[in-house]
Amino acid sequence: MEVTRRSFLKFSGGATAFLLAGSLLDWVKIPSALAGMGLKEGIETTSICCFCGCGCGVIVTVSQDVVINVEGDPTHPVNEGALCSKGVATRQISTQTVSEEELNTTYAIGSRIDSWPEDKRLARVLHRAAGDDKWTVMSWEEALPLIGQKIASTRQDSWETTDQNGMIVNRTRAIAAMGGAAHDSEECHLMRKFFTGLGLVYIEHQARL
Amino acid sequence: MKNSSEPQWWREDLKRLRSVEYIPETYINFFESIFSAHYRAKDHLVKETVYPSLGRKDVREMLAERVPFIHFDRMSIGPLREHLREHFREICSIIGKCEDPGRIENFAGSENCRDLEDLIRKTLSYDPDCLREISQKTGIDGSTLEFVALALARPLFELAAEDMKAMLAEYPWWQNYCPACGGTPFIARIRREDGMRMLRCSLCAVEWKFARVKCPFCNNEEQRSLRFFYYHEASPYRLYICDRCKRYIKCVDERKIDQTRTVDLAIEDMITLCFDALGRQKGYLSPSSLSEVVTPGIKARQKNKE
Repeated sequence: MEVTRRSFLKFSGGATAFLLAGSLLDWVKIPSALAGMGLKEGIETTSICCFCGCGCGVIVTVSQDVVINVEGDPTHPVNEGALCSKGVATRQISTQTVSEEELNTTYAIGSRIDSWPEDKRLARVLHRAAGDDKWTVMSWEEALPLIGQKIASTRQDSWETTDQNGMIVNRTRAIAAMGGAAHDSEECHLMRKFFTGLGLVYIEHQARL
Repeated sequence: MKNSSEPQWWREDLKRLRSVEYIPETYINFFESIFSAHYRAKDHLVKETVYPSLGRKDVREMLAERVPFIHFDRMSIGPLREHLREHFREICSIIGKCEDPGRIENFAGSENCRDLEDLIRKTLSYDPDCLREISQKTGIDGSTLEFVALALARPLFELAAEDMKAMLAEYPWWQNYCPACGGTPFIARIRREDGMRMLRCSLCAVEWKFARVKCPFCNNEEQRSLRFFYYHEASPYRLYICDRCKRYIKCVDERKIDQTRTVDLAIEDMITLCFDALGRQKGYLSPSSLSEVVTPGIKARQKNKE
């Protein structure tokens, strides 16, 4: 590439640190190695972490309709760029389309299904039968009645009408409910109502900060 | 011989720069000469008091008013005149190797120190009529005059801001002009430690904090009109664009660079020239005229006076 003397200094002495390549840029071509990767476009959006009530600021980066990164917003007064382990993992809860083939895969127990890329995130019920060592995909139509039956039978078998002092308690201590930090107030209210109605006493919605 | 103001990673980075296939050798040599002259000038100037020392309290008061605290008129140029003249000759000699040697030589011989001060002052206060007059008198075109004036001014401003650099990097300034001299940013980096976007001043090399999702030129915060281009997720380079003012700024994400390497944004600016070409190709511009480099600070000062 030849740069002629006259054209060489045809730049403003301004913007860049020492030089602003005016005419030079006409010659600069995108290197083939880079061009081969293909130019991508992204957009960054500021948001609030959807987990607990801290309200940490996050920057969500999306490229080609896929969330490629979630990180703490360094300019946010609450968290100043930091995120807890749940906040860092929010990228995994973005919704993506999953192929049928992936959905029907039987996953080995112990595989890290919670840290897979979005396109492989858990999107259907996985069931491990008692004594089995494999997770198998189950439809909601099969799963919901099964859950209902288990709750009903466990509740019936463990039901306590009175405690050891003869006080009426009407409860079961064989079932516990665990919520998640992502639940909002309304969801917590409904869950509390439902589980108390069932007679549960061990109800935990994990909303501590 | 190595100049003491020269950062220790500079020579290594220069080798890296030479390996970039699309930057002409002539251009890199020119860049190296200008930088070496810059470091030499800093070495000479550092022995003198460039700027009257400002108390941290005074500086903080000015910053709170959103007024840059360094002004060329307050610089003690008197004892620096000989160094300034020497630096000027060196700059002219470098330029003369590339362009119109005869005219540049005449220019180098004709300007006396007071004229040089005047040239810098006029350039920094963006007085186009005056610059045109100097251009007609010397036969040197306007862009070369601006280049010379800014090359002379940069070591002075860098030294004047030196003591405050660390403080300014943590100060919640958030404006789109430099807190020290009022200059415009030319490149950004995402800081390794906390993901903060740091803008770097094109005049005094100070870095300051700026929002990640905001245009550093027109302050646009409408997030749908702020996008970026990139080639690979693992690459540290991004080209942030604003669809409102049609400007772009290159950004280096330090978190994607080997921790042992110090990121020198002046070098990165050269390495990423292809992103400048890309920006232009897509119809976006970086602040390219002198008025854009110096006017944000001028406006801030004027506003404060009112």
